[in-house]
Amino acid sequence: MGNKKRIGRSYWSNIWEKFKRNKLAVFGLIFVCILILLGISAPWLAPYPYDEVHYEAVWTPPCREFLAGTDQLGRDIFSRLLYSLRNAIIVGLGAQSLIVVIGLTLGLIAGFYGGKTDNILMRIVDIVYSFPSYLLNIILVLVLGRGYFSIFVAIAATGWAGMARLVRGQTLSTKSRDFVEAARASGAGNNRIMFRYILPNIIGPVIYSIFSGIPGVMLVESGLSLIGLGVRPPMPSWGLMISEGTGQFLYNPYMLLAPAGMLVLTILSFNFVAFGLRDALSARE
Amino acid sequence: MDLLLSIDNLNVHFYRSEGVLKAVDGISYNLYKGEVLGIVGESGSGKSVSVLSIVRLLPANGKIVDGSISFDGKDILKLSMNELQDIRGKDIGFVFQDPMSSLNPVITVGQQVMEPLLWHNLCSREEAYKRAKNMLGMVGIPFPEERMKEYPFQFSGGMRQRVMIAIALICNPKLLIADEPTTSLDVTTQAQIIRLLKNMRSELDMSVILITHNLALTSNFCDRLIIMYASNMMETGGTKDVLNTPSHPYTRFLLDAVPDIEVEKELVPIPGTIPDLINPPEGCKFHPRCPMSMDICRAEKPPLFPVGDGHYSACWLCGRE
Repeated sequence: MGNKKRIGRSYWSNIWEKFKRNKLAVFGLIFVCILILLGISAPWLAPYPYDEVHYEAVWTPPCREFLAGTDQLGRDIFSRLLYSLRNAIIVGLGAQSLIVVIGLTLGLIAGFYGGKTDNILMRIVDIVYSFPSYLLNIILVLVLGRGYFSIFVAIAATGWAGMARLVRGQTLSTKSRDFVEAARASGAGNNRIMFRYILPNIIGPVIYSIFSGIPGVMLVESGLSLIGLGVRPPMPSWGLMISEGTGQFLYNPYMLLAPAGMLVLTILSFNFVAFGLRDALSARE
Repeated sequence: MDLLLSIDNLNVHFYRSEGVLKAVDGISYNLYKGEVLGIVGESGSGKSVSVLSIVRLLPANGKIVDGSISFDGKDILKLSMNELQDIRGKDIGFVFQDPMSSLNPVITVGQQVMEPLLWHNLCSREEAYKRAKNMLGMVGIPFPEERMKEYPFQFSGGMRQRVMIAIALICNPKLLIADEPTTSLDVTTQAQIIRLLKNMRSELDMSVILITHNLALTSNFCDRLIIMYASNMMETGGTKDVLNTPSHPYTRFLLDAVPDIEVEKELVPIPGTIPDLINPPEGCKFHPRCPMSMDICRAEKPPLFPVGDGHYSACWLCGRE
């Protein structure tokens, strides 16, 4: 039996064990941690302020002075990459937390109470889902004005529907499991069942969805910047830098390659973590 | 003896897309303090539904349409949701069929045993911990203090059923309802669990309703038996009376279908199949399968006729004499 050995292997440590076996996911997690640290410390790490212009050194290819070169105004691309990373992370986490709050609450309510409540909430979800989300994002940013907050709201306003659907489905299937009935039989009320029996049991897919949603949010932000509706310049963003770089691709390819490469690496690493989480969380018991 | 539970003319309907399914069709019985009642019947005979109704724990499409349930002087059907939650787990403990899926996989076993005490505000957290530890020891879990920190997946089926029993008994309920507690366990574990239930009953002095489709389990545990078939009560009486002098043809068929290791006999299956409960047969529900059926069986539903001391049978054959 080995009684001593098994003690302390909780649900989460089991998942961690499985996650660790996936090398790509662990690599992704390390990379994500590094990215977040870089983003947080951007103001100290960046060799130049993101908006400092060097007219004497426009379109300088990467060199010792400017690690990733300079753009058409002579701004240091490396510093701008760091600040863009910071913005991408702020937007990714901020919008994603709003999505989780809205989606989790509404999905849980719809799935748990069912009936009319479910019907009404899910029809709203259908409407939001069927709306062209990028268009809605653009309209919302235009109406609310540019800034972090309006980008959060614009992305969350369209993104919560998927989360609500996921949570509702998970709640529905968990609600009918035997241990929920057993909890009712020992006197648990609705709140206890929701927060102690259903929520902890659906948190796995929700965590996966949070991680796999972050790259999507970052892409939307880049997309908005690409057409000039992202974070307000001179604050840099990958999308904006890519759009500036496309025109220069034949003469100064580093201007496109640097931000595009960073975007790809960031999104890939978040995705690797998400896939690792999905595999670790789906194999239960 | 004092009356603990009294069910009178209980009717439970399930509303399905195909029509109304009469899951329980006019059942009445009493349960006294300290008594062990066995409810025996095939799958789908309404035995689980009849006891789930006692705490109004029916699925969304099920409804108690008629009858009354009185538990410990309270009219269950008139209680509010809060009052009901107060009874569930505290005065009435439940043990379910499948221990593998009846425990919350993400909470430690110790927590789950303590929770009913805390939910009903019966004692402090420290006191609950102590009582849970003692209870787990009582139901036969070795090293209860260490095992309390573990999760359900680290327990075997029999051990999980012991945990379920500990959860059901932690608040010292007046009534324990065991809904086929041994069905999903292997035979040796079955015997252990029944012995455990028996010991706990005498130790904690409570009433028990044991639901089963295994007649052999009832003979040395239950005081009284109810035989159910197609949502109806077929026969009820003292366990010995029912098993030794069965007076309903269905009960006789059931007993003929039980293998006996000492006597060599042919096992006789009951002819026919269980009726469709949405369009049940007229009269006695058993008449299409009964070799002794008469004209009256097809026309009218038989009431419970007395056939002995506290022994009743819902069969026209018994009413004739």
